[in-house]
Order: sequence, then structure tokens, then C-alpha cells
Amino acid sequence: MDLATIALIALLLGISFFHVIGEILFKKGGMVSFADSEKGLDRKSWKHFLLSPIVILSLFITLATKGLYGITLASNPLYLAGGIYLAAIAVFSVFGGRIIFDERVGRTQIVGFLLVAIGIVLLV
Amino acid sequence: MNKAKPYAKATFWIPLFIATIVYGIGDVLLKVGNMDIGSTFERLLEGEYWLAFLLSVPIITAFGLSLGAKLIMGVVLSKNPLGISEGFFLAFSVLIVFMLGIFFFGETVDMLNVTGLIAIVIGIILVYMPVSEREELEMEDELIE
Repeated sequence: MDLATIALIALLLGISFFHVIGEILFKKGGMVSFADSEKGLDRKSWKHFLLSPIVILSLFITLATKGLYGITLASNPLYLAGGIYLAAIAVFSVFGGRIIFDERVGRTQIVGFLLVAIGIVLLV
Repeated sequence: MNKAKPYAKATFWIPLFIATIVYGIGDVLLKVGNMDIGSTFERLLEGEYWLAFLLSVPIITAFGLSLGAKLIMGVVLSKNPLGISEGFFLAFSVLIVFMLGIFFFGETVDMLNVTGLIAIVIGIILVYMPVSEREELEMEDELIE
């Protein structure tokens, strides 16, 4: 694996990490805004949700990371950049979510994580 | 009682498949748009680049398709467990993006790459699998000890 490939993997991992931060903020925003809403259909909750700084920040982060991912795509193969980006999002969101929202990680998830890591190495 | 069947065709596989196709086409357009305007990280500080970025039809369409895929996934998520739905969406998206890369851009892959793809797809599905009740109990016991 050459230096350029390692740099590409690191870059995509960084971008996907920020993407997941955006998703976690989005989830947090939703949990706060819809905490008292039974089915999430009332206008008040939606207004609070759409105007909450945490949700606006999360959407901004998601758009920015998508833009950066697009720049990476311009000079790299789609299968490679797309594969690493999506795989990293999957792993970060599961493990990030489990750490922040105190969800459990079992043996199956660890095996899955190892398979993704091996897959990324084989993909490049 | 009208109980939704888990992973039914109409509320799971069909919208999931459509969402991944939409996402994949979005990625193809994102690549085409960024190649057209010559995107590089060095150009991020150029005003001219940003104007081209904001006026690029493929890029704007790609963002729209990404949002569309999210909305279609809303249908899947409304009737199915989050972990399984997201897991299959991301795993299939990797698969679709891989195939579209070969089809639209003539990207060459070897057997190692295909093996890597299979490992990633299975890995993502496993990562999103819910923790079994037995494992939950084992972990609780460990915490108590």
C-alpha cells in the first residue's frame, strides 16, 4: 500500500467521521424536539426541530462532508472512494452511537467491524 | 389485527432497493459534476470554483438524489427496525456504487477487490445486527461482577 492510498483512506475516514458526528447531532436534535411528542406529528415539535441550532448544524455538517466526499470522488475511482466512505460511515455510526447513546456492542459487531477493516484493505 | 410483516416486499426490499439505486446514481452524478468543474482541495478557496460548484447541475441533482434516498429510507424505517434497515441500505449502497463505478467509468477491479467488497458488505450487515439477548445478559453479568 503506497502513501497516496493511505492518505486517501485517512481522508475518507476523516470525512465519514464528521458525517457521523452530523448524524449523531441530528439524532440528538430529534430526541430533544420530539421528547414530548407521541407520534412526532405535531407542528410545535416539528417547528422546534427545524429551527433548533443542533439540527441546523447537523445538516450543515452533512452537506459539507458530502461536498468534500465529492471532491475526493473527482480524482479517485467511485468503487474505491464510495466503498471506503460508506463502510466507514457504517462502522463509525454503530460504534459512535453505541458509545454516546450507551448501546451495547456484541461479538457479532466486532466480527463485522473486522470484516469491514479487512474489506477496505482488500479494496485498495 | 393488521400487523405489518417484518421485511415484507412492499415495505422493506422494494423501497430499500430503490433507495440504494437513487443513492448510487447520486454518487455517479456527484463524481461527474466534480470532474466537470475540476474539483480539488486546493481550489476550495477560489470564489470561481464555488460559483461553478453551486451552478453545477449534476452536483445539485446529486444532492437532491441523496436527500431523495434518505426520504425513501424513511418509508423503510417507519416499518422496520433501524439497525437492519440502515445496515442493508449501506451494504447495498457499497455494492451498487461498486457496480456503477465499473459500468459508468470503466473502472477495473480484480478478484481481491471483489473479495474486499464481499467482506465489506457482510461486515456492514453484521455490524448493524442487534445484540442478542444472551449476549446482553452476559454483559450485564460481567458488569455486576
